[in-house]
Amino acid sequence: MEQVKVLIIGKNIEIVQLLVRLAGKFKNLLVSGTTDETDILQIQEENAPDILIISSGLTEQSEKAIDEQSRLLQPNIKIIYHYGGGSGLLKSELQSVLDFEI
Amino acid sequence: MQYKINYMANSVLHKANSRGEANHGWLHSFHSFSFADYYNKERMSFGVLRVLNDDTVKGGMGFGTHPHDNMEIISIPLEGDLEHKDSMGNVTVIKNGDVQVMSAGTGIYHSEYNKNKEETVKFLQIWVFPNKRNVTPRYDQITLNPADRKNKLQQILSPDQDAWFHLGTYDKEAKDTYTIKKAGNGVYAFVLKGEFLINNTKLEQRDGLGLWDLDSFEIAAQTDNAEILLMEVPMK
Repeated sequence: MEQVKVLIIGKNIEIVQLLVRLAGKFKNLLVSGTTDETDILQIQEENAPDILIISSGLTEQSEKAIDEQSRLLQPNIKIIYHYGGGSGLLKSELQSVLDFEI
Repeated sequence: MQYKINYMANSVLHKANSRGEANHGWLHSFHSFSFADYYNKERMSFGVLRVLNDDTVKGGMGFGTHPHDNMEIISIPLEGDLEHKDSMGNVTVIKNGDVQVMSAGTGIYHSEYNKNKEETVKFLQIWVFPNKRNVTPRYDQITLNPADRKNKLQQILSPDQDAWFHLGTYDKEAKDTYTIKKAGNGVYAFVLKGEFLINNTKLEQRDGLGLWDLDSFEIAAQTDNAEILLMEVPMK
């Protein structure tokens, strides 16, 4: 099965690192993270992630801009607004957008 | 016995034994909604009520320091006490009878341990989606007077979200009416002890009943010392 590419963006580096570690444990997910929102578009152009997880710490305007620009670049991208900080909801959030069991 | 049935209401019943279960030895948890490794696409939330975990933690054990963000987190000890520490500098004991509320917002780290080395602690951990992401983290703790909920509903908190939580402890055959505070909200009723009848539905200990599209409903205690938690939340 082809691996699903997941990109995580947030401003709290420890939470982003935790999310990368947790998501990286699930089978068939290739996970990376960044805290630099200016990197997002370049990463998308180079790597075309299938799923974008928006973590905490961004402004409302930044979240909206990332969402809009990501969908323009990749209309089929799945965007997850993560809640909880890695403590319990991540698997459900990912499972709800995947068509295979993780 | 007369009781009011709201025929127009929508409802969903979650029996206690239908919850997800996770037993880690030191922690035995029942999840009313999908959480950690428990995933059920039919049980993702009730409106903005996202997590209702019924936790039992062994003596001296607990949750080491870990992060949360962007959730309103409510902890209600049912038996025993929890020792709380967080990255905002709060160090406190949440006793049976207290309620703890944390707005995790941009991010907070905390730990929760069973204060008692010999006895288990039982508590509810409840998460509500915030109405605004990335707020400044906040912590609050209140102590409740049980006498204020004897045969009546006691408001125990109002999370930052057009939501209202109430507890009530009732004698057998006592009845009460709950009126929705904000139009469009639903209520998730969770039985802590004993049995209740709500909208012609019998609820036993740790059963949950979600109700929406209604203005009010009646609760009727079927046993002595029956205790219920009512969580009124936005449905969107």
